[in-house]
Amino acid sequence: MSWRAFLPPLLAAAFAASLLLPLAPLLGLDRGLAIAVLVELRLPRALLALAYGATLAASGAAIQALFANPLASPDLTGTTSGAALGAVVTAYLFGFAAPVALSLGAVLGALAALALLLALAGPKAETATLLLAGLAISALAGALTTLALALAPSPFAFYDAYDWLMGSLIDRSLDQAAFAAVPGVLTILLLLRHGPALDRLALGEDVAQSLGDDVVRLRVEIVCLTAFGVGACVAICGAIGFIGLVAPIFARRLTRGHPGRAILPAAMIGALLLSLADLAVRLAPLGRTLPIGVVTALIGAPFFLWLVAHMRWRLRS
Amino acid sequence: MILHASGLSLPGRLTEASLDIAGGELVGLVGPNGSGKTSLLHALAGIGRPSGTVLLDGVDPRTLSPAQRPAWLTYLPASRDVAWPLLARDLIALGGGGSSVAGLDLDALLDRRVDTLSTGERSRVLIARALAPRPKLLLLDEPTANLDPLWQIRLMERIREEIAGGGRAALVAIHDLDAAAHHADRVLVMDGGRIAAEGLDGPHVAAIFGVERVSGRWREADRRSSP
Repeated sequence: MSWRAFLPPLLAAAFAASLLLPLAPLLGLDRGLAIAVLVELRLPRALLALAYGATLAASGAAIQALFANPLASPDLTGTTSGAALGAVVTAYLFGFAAPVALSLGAVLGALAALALLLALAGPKAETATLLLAGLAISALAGALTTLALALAPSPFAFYDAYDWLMGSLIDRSLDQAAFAAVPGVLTILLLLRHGPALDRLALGEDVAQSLGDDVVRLRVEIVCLTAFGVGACVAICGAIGFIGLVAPIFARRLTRGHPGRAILPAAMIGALLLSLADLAVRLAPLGRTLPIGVVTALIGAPFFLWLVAHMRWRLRS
Repeated sequence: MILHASGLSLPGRLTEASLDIAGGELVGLVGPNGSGKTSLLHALAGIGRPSGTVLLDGVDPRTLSPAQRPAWLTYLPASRDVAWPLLARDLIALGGGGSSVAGLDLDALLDRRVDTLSTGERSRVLIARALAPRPKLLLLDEPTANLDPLWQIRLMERIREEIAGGGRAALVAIHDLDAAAHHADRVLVMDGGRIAAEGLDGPHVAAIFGVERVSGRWREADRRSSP
């Protein structure tokens, strides 16, 4: 399989570019300061882009395999908005400076959203049901988040939260990056373990059970794992959309359609996409920095529309 | 005995089903819609947490790992839907028994995506998935549905060929009573979530199915004659 050969070098190149570009400010500084900029500013940002992108994409691949639906993803199923709501409520109670509480709140929010989705749409939901339930959960979580912000004690807190909600990798410390990256990488590793079972699930839930898979347990584990990984990343970087939808779709082209086997390439493609989006944010000559969530949405939303049009036949059935 | 099952139950669907199948036997499973054919196959395949005993060659298949399971039993569901556009050969390989099966004329299909196949072609691919691991027990839910007349005959003969030689057996749910009588060594009749009778001769057929054979043709049973 050729992707094994070309994805890692691409990732390495994107990581190097994240550290070094733009080059001009680095060259203008003295050596010590340049290293400080690299380690304190650009390294956490580059690591976060890789870890968050990979986590979103691996989670997306697993959720799509679980729901047997290429349109399921952390953002379209409401997981991301649930995590954001959990984090905002926690921040409301404890402030943005408590990363453990924030992460915990986001994970719980994500878990609640996914549990609600399973309850509303069921494990084998048709595309339309799944998307409508996801939409309803996103809308509810979004409204509650806005409500929490509107009741915020100070306009300063409101601005902080708004900035964070748009999704951003900027100005995070190495410690904060670790708070997202460690749960993220752990999630990906544990999801990879379920790859073969998720492939067998492509034969249908009944057949998977007849082959000895505990499908109920698989479902619970995938839901908890993705909530854990996505929640932890959302707590640090806010909500970033569409990576979890798009990357698995490309990844399955590299695994001849196998949904479980696609988790690893999806993680790599997700890391690559978010790194590239961050580079685009950084290098765009706009005079100010765009929130990265806006960039992924601007590219991802048209792709999503194309996808929906492309599979209308599936929506009908 | 290849299969010994007793007291198999699935809440609300199957009540205390017991059956034994010997090596080399092709057992037909018939019954009206909703009589529990699929439920019995599910319970035997370990789907939906059934209660009761299932022993294959003396081994409880629920104690086998996913890697071992396909060599012991495989299950073909009645649905021919496949969620992902996999290649036929990849789909067959997911069943754990390699990617090709002789005697189903699959050569032209193996490198096609399953979503581009006709329902009948897809049926053959899915049947190949169940046959490929050469399991001790084949549990097939309406394997001949969607197949043309020639393939209906070929498939039943292929299943017969598959289990010939003793150590293997098949339980095949089927709607066509004539096909069941013709191809199976014996026929179990399901009704109301129970194995109600064996064989297709006798007054129980009219009572259970509401049909009877009159001068070689099946027709709706005369209600007065049914007990």
